[in-house]
Amino acid sequence: MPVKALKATTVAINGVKSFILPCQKIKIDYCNWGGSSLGIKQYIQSKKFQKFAQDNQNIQINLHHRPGHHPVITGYYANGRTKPICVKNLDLETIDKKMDIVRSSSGEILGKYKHAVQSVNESARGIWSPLHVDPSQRHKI
Amino acid sequence: MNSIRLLGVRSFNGSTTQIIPRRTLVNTGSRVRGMLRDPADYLVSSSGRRYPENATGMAPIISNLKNYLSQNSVEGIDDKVLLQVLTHKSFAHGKKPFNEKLSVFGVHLLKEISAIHLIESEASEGASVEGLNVDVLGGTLSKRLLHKSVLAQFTRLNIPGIEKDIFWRNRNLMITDPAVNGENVVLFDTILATVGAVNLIKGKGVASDFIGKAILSGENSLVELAKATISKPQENKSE
Amino acid sequence: MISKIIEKKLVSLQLVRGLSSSTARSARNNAFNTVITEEVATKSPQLVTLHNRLRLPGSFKLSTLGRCLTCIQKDNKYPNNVGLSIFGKNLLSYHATELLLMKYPRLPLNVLNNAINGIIGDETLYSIGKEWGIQTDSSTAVEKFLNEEPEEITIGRLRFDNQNKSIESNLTVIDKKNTLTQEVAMASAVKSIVGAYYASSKSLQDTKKFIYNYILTTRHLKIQDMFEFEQPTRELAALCKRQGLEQPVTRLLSESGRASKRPVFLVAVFSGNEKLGESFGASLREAKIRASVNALMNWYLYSSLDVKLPSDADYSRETLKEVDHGIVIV
Repeated sequence: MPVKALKATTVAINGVKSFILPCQKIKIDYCNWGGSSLGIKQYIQSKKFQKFAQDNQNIQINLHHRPGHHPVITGYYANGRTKPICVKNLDLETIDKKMDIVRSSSGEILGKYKHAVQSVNESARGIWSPLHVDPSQRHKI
Repeated sequence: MNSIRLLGVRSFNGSTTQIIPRRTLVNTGSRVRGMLRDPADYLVSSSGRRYPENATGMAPIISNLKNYLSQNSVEGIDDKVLLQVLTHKSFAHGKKPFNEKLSVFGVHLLKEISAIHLIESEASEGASVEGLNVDVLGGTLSKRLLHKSVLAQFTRLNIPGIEKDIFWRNRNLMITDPAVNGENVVLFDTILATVGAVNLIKGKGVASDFIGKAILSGENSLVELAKATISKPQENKSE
Repeated sequence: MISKIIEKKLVSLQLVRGLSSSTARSARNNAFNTVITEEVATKSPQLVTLHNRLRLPGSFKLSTLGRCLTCIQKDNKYPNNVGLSIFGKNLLSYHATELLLMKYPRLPLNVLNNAINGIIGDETLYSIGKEWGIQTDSSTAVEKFLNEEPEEITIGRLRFDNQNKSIESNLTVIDKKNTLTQEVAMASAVKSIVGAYYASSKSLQDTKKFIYNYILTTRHLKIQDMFEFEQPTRELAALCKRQGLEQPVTRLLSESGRASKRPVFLVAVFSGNEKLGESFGASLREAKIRASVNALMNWYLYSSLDVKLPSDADYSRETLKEVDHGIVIV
């Protein structure tokens, strides 16, 4: 039998040639009665929010009236995860920064990377091999 | 019945290591277990043509296909490549370059170009998208267009005598029906490999023009033949 | 009060249902009652954001994008995407084949087909669609009616008859008649967007650019993991004979710990003075087989440094005298 083919395995690489923002949707919960929503209500009516929506036309923004609850900004991401940030009692400036965090996040769980570079490509130099060392220098067992 | 001959001594030039020359004995006639067959025995096509060993032998075999291509203003494809287009994988146990992948390349291009042709020119009941009747695709006509028997018939009508030029192995010489003995499949592969070779060597622009001019338009075009099979379904059933 | 409203709505829903079923034609015919208008489509947040996310040109209408998300359904309200997705698949498969064949001219056909499936198969297109942010419509017709879901929200989602219907928790009904899985539906939407891109731009070059930027280069394919050889040494010998090379000979390059429990042998396979492949193994036999596999991989995965594609504007290879022979048959 000649060569057989196995099933292909592919790895997603976002950012090569094109980049699609992982943040797809932002939901803003607010309450018309509670004092903790004061900042978010100001933000929604501000020019900053208008500018944010104008600059990020690839993000769907939903305003959700949720009476009796603290205000929450929730990001929905391409990997299926969400990122809820509570913005109770926060002022306009801080909320704007929080919106930026939600927009820029990848949606992955926050963690520490062991290596400075992560790549799907194989190392160009290969792995060091003791068997390829000059025989005179080679370690003898 | 059997005859045994010395094929020749294989020695290799340009090698510094000493190689013992090989003496190869080959057998003609009925098979002998463990013995090599004489290449002269199997390098013959179903139509009785011998596989050419040099450029002079190649010329009469590829002339038919070459004429067809030059009629449709495609020139400059090497003779070796044309011979490969005319060689099916079944020939000589794959020992000579065969057209399998050229044919796959051709089928994908033909699918693309014919789909564009159909949605631009054929009418459909569904709603069009920007003036293109996309709902023609997936219908009977588009399926018939790339049917093996239709493409084989197209090849026979447009390149008369091509079936004699093709190198392939008929699995049973007793069967004469081209749909059963494999001739349709071989012709299907050959015409697609022609498209693939034009695409590979001349580029997609020339290949698209070739498909538009030679395959999708004219009296015996693929579209006309496909439409004819739809109107006569009983004829298609026998194939 | 509420129950009364629901009752009233249900009655009118039945009326609507009765009407549609009386006029229902075969879904394959792509019969439809109404088309998605541009006016409604511009109000749909999902369509507008998807359009921006993919940086689609202005000529790509939002109503066309809405049609791309309409899969084949039993009660078709809008024209579906069947034709568009077939067209998109034709465009995609040509470019995937072209890229792989030009990059790896000696790739065996079965590996080529699997690789194409890996790049533009339904499974891959499903995850691409999810990355593009295509939302699936999971609510039933009754739920939509009771929620008074506006049309612009409905058309922004991927609509299809799901094969797996979960009617209760832990209970799923699988109905395979005229239904799609979520995977196939999403893939058809992605393919349709490619088809519609050509329809709106009428330019194969622009469509090619879109396909490369958003589909073909967004996946890393490990093509070297896709080979399996049954008799590599025999196949290599057949290859050498076919190509007129000297018969392959395996030679030991170096070794370590032959008498130990964990020996390592480094073996290379030569044809005359040319080294074809090299590998290691825990036994001489294993190392020999691995070296042959390495040699065959070197042959099949040959890749030219500058890859030119027939669909490029200034392509011509008239000097090409030989095309790849084909796979080695043993």
